[in-house]
Amino acid sequence: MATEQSHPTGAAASGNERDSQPAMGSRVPALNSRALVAGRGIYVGDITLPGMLHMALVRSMYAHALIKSIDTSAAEKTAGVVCVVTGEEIRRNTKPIPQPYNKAGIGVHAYDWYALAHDKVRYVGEAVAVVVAEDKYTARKAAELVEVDYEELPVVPDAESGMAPGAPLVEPSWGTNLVMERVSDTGDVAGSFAAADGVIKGCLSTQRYSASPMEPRGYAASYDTFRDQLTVWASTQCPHPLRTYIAHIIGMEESRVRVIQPNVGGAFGSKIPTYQEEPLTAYLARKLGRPVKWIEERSENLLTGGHAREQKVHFEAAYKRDGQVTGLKAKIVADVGAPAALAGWEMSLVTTFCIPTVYKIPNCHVELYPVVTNKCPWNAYRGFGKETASFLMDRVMDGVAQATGLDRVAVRMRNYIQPEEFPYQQVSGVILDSGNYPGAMRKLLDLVGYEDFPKLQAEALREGRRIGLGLGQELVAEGCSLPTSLLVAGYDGATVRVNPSGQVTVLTGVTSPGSGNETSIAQVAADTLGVDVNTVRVIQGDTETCPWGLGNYSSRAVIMGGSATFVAASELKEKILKVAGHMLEVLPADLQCQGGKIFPKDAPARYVSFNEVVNIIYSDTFGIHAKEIEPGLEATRYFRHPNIYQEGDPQGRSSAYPSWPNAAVGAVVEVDPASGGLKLLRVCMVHDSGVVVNPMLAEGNVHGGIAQGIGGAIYEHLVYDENGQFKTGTFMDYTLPTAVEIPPLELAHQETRSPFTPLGTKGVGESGVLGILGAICGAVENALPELDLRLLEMPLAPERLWRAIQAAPKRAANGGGSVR
Amino acid sequence: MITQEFEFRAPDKLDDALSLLAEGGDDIKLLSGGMSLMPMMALGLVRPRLVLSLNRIDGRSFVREDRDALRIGAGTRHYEILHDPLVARHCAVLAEAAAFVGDMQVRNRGTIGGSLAHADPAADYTPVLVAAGARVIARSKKGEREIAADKFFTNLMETALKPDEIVTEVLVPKLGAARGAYTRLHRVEGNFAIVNAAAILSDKSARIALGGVGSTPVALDVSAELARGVSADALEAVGRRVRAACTEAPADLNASADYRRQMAAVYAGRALSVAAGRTPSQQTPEAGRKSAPSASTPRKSAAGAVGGMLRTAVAVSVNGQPRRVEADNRMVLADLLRDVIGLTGTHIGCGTGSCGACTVMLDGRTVKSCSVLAADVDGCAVETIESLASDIHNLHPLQESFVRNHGQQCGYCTPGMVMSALQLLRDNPNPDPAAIRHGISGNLCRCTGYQFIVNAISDAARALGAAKPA
Repeated sequence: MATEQSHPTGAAASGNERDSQPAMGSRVPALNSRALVAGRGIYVGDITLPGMLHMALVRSMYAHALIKSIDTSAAEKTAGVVCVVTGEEIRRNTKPIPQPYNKAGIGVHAYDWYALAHDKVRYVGEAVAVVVAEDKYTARKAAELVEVDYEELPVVPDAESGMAPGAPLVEPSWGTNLVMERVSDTGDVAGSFAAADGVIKGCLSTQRYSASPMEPRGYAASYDTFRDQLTVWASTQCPHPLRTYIAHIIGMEESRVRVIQPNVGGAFGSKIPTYQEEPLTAYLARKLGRPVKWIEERSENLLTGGHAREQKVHFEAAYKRDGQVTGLKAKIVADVGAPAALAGWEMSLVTTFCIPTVYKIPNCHVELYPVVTNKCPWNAYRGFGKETASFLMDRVMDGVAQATGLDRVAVRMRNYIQPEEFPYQQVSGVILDSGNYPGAMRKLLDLVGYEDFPKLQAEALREGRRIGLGLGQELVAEGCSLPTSLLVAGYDGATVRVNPSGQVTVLTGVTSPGSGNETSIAQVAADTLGVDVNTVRVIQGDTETCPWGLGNYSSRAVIMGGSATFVAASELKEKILKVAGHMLEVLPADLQCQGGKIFPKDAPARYVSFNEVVNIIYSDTFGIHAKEIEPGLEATRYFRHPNIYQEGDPQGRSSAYPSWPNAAVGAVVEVDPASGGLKLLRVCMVHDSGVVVNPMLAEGNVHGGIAQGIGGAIYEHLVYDENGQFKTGTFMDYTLPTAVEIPPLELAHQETRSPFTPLGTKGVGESGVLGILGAICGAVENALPELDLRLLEMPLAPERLWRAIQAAPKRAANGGGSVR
Repeated sequence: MITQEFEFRAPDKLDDALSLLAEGGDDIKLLSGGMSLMPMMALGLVRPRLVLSLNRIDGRSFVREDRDALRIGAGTRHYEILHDPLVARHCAVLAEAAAFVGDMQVRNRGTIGGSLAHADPAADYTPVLVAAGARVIARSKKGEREIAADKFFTNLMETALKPDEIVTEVLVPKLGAARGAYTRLHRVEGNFAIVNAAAILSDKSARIALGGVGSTPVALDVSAELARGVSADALEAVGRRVRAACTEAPADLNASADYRRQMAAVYAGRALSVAAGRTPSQQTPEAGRKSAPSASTPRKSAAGAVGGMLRTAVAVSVNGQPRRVEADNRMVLADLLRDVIGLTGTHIGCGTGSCGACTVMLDGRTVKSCSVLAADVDGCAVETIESLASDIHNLHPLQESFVRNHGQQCGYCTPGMVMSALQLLRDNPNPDPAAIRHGISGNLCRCTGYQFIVNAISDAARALGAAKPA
């Protein structure tokens, strides 16, 4: 965010000199928390400028229709309306929203998406026209008066219909509804199935889902006519790329556009550019010469704010009697919604990258079919397709355990990639940096009390309560880097500035969507320079002041931004040590910075203060101690992650993800078989995100991930009917879990360093979301051992679970004992 | 956001309200709590010409004994019913139902009369009132009449009320030696019941009533089935009758008609079992735990409709400062605070009363300020998040605890969460984690998974307790 971070109470502004402990690894409270708890955060909705106008969208009521004509006269006549703009004007005066990478270059269909639809609409909610008015009530009221004459077209309501022969085409110029096709085959799949002791198969499905940040989208734009300067305040994750895109779309020089990201009220991927409303707000501010603001309603966010996850995976797994999974076939069909310019459908591609996650299965056949439909386009959402891969593999492992009669843990242990095998190239080509999967699982078994659970289960059963324990194991791909992309790449920058008084300012290219990564970055800078964390201020999210950077997604803030901060701060440290060495007559290499002091490693009492050295560098540039170094104490450095391979290997496989945090999760549930009701009693997780900079913030992040995972497993579901009409436009229909649904969350850390980042960090932003799906399914099955229940369809809403229980065959009697 | 303009009136006297209603035609909406009306207006599902608020009429909130019954004023808010000692003593099952209504903020604002008149088929009070044989008292200019609860609900969101009538009281028979229980099935806390069931059981008779299974409640006398007590066979027999009776169960996103029928049987059985296990004097855990905090201060204002009836002059105290504003009637309290007064700490996350980001104190209790009309707070006192800390060094102990425990991430839900936590700790200074989770269930958070929020509130309770003199 663009505002500076405040110091916690009592932070001395003057002194770095103190016996502080290292900041990294400690539970430093979030630097911006005091303002946020006081209600003093500043979000886009809080920004009011003189003469500000308000914009409201006219949205398509049809899933697929030609726009025959638009009558704006009634809206225009409404008192307080300033203008009404339709797609025709946008088509004439702006360029299509840029794609996040060169799609044609890799054989992916692209679509020229404009800030307003002009000839046809492809989903309910697509923006057709815009009304600008003096106040928000008038804008919305007038938007209802715009009359659009549509001619309905046949609808593609889901992926299966879209793949059927003769299906209507969402984008006729493609000649297909497939965004692309991908078939990958490694090892000897047919051989592995032929030699198997058994095969399990099924079709798993994850439902359409919404990120639902508590702050919906919002943009405000102001154009200074006399200076040709546009300022856009955006609830976005990526201010710099957004600036480039907006400048391109509305035809301005990039250097005359400034994007400011104020506080963001959550994003989770869904605020990655570019939506129609972002350039639209900018275009209108420039057109009208007055500030224009758009704050999304929740119903609009659910309808158009990016959807995710709707996938089916048809799978078969070949196994040996000892639990080894020797072969895997997976056919993934994704319903990715209408074509757009969002980084959305790629989530289904990432599912294929991650299979078979933490396991060694050399023989894999994976097919991917992302299908466009007449629904809201996908946009990025936490998990980014990885959740489906982890869910699949958890279901495979539990399925093999059921089929072989082996313990669920034993089957996983039999198949894990071992700690000494890293870096490990997975069959898809990705290179897993590091990990200790059996270690994390063993730690989890202790945490969740796996050995003793059957006793608890038996006790509960005596009270008539059906409880069960399930396991999940997630593998999270982080630090994404796509070829030919301005938006998605595995690098970022930071400027570190030691001010004359010794306080430190860090300006980063990465941003915070509200997760608090600025605090972790301050901790990195503090420890690198050996100063107190409270003297470090981090500034993010302003293209005018911060170095170019790609913002926030794929857990990159600490991986890329933290590493860049470390590299830049290290450069300054080198200068500081040179001067200090001169002052102390000690070689710089023999010096240490800590607690605001610089001293010989073997003689801590003989120190100079950090501030004194800084003062000499600034004020005695030509003096004896500083004359050998370049003046100034400011460095901008970029970090490029070394574990990314864009060129194909001999088999043509590349590796877009350099960082692979992972976790083992255990869920304890209570099932009410009579209703299908499900109550989570505990969730335990051992996560391995490499070196953890701030355990409290990391845990907070993982907690949030788990809660979103639980939402996806049981409660949340975006529903369309067969005509592409949207049915879940409020939080009464799209039910987010409350504090009552989320159980106590218990976490433990395992730290397996990444060998590829200077601090060993791997990223923690998406951890928690993935493993919980399989863990909950496993727990329900474990609670009802007398039933041959195999849960593959999400979400486990009461009726679905009740029907599954009704339909499940009884197992051959084995005394009702616990099946593990 | 409400887009359609409307007139707003808030008379001081019931007679004036009745007159307006008698003159007004059908496109008048009465506003009692507004917990259903406001979201419906925000979504454009209801577009009245005139909103007639009953909130300024004194004496609509009470619970009194009247021989064998309790008289409950139609303006009695759900939290008052939940904590009322007479309700706890004579009809605890009503408080049990009140505990399920929405969430804390909804219970603070919503009224029993409003809930009845709205007639949602899955409303929590409905099965209890029907099973208990309650009567609804309605008044018009022409006089007063009593309507039996089972005759009151006539169709989906339709009642026996005539257009010129207002619910004034509910007469609930004292249960005496009978025992009651209320159960429900739902997706998430605070959401509509998929089905709900109430049972009233005495030595001689057994009655059940079910909601969510048709446009009106389904009531059954199951005395015959339970003549020999509550056994598995008896409940099976009840279940058969319930399934047979619920022929008009609706299908929606949450449940098919068949599932609703099946669940009606399951939950009817549960209500009966729970009731059978209770002693007549036994209270539900939450009911009557403490007496309700004193009701809001009497409201005084000379303000009224201005500007062609589409705007209303409002005098309101905000964080102790008197404010006079002229509000567009479409403006909700959250907009008044944010756009007019400039207090932007109150956030809007959904605009339909679901997320709680806009939670503020209204006359001393939390409400969702997106679901209260600005015009309707005339004469009230509002406290916002900004009232808790004078500057960054002087946060409220609760806020300090959030900082210490990382109870916030993006900060968007945080102000509302803090206000709800404040209400929770005022009502219950030593809540256990389950009580905390229940108390903040009207506030959605998407970042934290709630764990550190629960920790922060627990920690604050300890800190605040320790700070008090022994």
